Amino acid sequence: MRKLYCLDEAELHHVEEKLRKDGIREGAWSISRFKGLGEMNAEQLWETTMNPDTRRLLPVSLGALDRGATEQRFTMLMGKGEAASRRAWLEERGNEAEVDI
Amino acid sequence: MTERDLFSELGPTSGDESLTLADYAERAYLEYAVSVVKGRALPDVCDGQKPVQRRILYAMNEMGLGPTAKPVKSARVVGDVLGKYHPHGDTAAYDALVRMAQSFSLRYPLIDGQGNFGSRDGDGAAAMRYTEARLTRYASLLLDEIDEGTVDFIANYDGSAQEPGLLPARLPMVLLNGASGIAVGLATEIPSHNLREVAQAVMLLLRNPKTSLDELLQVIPGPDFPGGSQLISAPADIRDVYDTGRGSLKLRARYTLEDLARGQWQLVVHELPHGVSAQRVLEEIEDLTNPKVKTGKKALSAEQQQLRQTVLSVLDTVRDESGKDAPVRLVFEPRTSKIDQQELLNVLLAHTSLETSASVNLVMVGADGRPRQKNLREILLEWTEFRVATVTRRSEHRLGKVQERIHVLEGRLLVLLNIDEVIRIIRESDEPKPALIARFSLSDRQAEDILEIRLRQLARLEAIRIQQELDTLRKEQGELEALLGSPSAMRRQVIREIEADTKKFGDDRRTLIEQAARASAEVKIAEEPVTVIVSERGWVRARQGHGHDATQFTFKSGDALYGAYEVLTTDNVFAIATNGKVYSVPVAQMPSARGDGAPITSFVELEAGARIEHTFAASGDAQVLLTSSSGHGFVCQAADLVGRTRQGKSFVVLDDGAEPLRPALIASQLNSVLCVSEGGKALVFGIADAKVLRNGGRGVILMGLDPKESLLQAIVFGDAGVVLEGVGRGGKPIRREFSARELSGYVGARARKGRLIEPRVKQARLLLR
Repeated sequence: MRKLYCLDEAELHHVEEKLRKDGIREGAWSISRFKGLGEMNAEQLWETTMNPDTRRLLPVSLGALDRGATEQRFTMLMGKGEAASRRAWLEERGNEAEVDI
Repeated sequence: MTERDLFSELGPTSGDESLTLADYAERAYLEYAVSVVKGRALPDVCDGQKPVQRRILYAMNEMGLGPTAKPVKSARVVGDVLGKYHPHGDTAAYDALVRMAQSFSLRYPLIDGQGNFGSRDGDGAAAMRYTEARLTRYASLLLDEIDEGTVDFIANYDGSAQEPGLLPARLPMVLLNGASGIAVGLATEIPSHNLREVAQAVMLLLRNPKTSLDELLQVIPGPDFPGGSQLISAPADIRDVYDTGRGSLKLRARYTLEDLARGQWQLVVHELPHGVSAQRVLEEIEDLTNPKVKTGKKALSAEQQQLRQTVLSVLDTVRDESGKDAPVRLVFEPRTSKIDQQELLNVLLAHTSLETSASVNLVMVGADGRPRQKNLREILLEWTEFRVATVTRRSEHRLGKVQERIHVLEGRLLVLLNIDEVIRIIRESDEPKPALIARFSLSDRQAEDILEIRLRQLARLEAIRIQQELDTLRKEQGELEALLGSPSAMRRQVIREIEADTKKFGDDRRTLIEQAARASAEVKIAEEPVTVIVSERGWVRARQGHGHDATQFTFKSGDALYGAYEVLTTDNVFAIATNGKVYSVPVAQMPSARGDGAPITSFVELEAGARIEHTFAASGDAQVLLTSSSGHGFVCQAADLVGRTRQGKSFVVLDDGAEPLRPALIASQLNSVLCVSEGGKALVFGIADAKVLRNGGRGVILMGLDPKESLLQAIVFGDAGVVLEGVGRGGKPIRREFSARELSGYVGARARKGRLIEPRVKQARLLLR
């Protein structure tokens, strides 16, 4: 038995394509999903998340934005008195996020 | 943030090497927020269900738990819901199930609970291993058409099962049962409504999509709560709420006055406002009549004492007689039968939640997938569109079924007369299907059907029966095609179905809508003349009567008189802080003049870093000139400064570094403004030139100032003129009186710089003469 881990729907798609290309019979594999870290055994957590060879770490930077713009964004997201602008933001962009419910 | 696409960049497969912090945070937050908004807390405009509710209903439907089935353990339902559709906590799912079964929570309960499902007093339901549940007949409004191709099914969380994305609601459930929830950045509070009324409104909109809100409100006069009660808001206020989708409605308990023997009587409350329990009312009365000393205080406050007296003077005892005969029965006995009934009522309504306001916030996930606040008309319109689409899909689905069956029957009719040959072909042919198709020119589907018929049935095929079925099916096909071909026929069909459902499920309104004035808790204050004495350091006290000699007032050492104001006990004391906030305190709360009084700061809650700069008292209709050291100023009424809370209200907008100056009261006969700057310049102009800003603000420039120069004081004077006080050279106190005529030499247009005034003094101060 072989185990393949995919991070998201797109990666799953890639892996499935590859399996098909390798001539593996459709339905010979089954998919299970982790909803949280609590569903993993210690070994699985190592393989998916902790292993330095396969884990994915990305540096976080301010990017093209300066400090002020970044802080402004954070204020909008987390600020105490910003409920109204968060609400407008959600109404504006709420349909863009794709989420598992 | 209009054109940024948060989701194209930074995907894990895009190979980007660095994350932009702000974008990443925004995306993560948005995903979280949306999952809470759509996946948890908000109902959908189409079926009015939150995901957990939808999943419970669907799971129960799949388990065959209809209104006539034997109820099964709630734990089984919860287990199914969690395992198949809803990977969240079991308590969350069970609590949702319990709520759907509570006839005091939902106007039209969707679940029929067996066992202890809690009470309106806040008792919880029994554990899910004890209670049992099945669906009510109202649930059929949501589930009947689920298998008729009406809604899209989506894969569940692990792809092992399918669940409906929406339920094919036959009525706007979102209004019928309402909803409440708190998401991220959004919250919702939808009251429940009467089925008949909502159905009628929907039919109006189906007949004429241009039906106005006012016409809709003719049939939906307001919400209809499961517990009845009375809606006392004015029709205009109710309209406002439905027009904007947000606001608050005032609810009042319903009661009867029961006459007892020998002229005795008692007040009996039998319907409570939504969300209020008898238990809560009893607790409130207990708190009123037996108040606790607040933490940090040594004794009961005057307010607590007074409330206690007020309640005890009219109320003797209160009993909760709720029981099996009456779901709510709260009995209030007056202290004596001679008490005015209206007075007892008023005290109870004003001080307990027998009268409350219910907030309304019609937020839901729209048909476009966006969560948004909607007004009544939008909700109903969106739902009618959904309904028409659902019935269209249902008809198309049925049409497909009918056509297929007709096709199959036609095939059977063809072979009917040649049964023997059919049997021969099947026996002799290696591949009977192509042979059948070739011999009788059947379609693949028809040949398949013939081959699938059991021999016994094949022999018994009757032409008449097939023909009969074909006839009915062809008739139905015709009807369905007509329906699908004509939007107006479709709308009529939808209306007919709503009419039928109204007949079947409709019931009478429970909540009485009758406007009434809010019971006010006004504590009567005798209107008496009083003098408010304010010290330089902001200590205040009130002395009875007018006409006191200001020189007789004593102060703490180092403190001095700031001002004495002759007002009434019903007026207010106002304080202006360095951050431009104003605070108001009723004169009645001022300590007596027997001691030094109390600092004004003890009556208000200042923001950190702010100081109270000026304190004065005035009656509400008095005009006040508010000025700041930057030379700005405006006129308002003292009543405009009155705030409801101890937090004060932002009123004066101050430039950087500017401070509020001593406010000038504009009594009658006073019509000119004298401004004096730090540098000793004076300017006089008519009070009419100052702008009136009743909502506060920065005001206009009163006196033009050089850089670094600041305004010292502005005073409004009349014919009597003013007094200039200050300290001259060598620390010698100076006092100089100016008559109005002398001051006329300083008259200029507002915002001019003015002329130097003699004598030059330090710490100058202007008084009225």
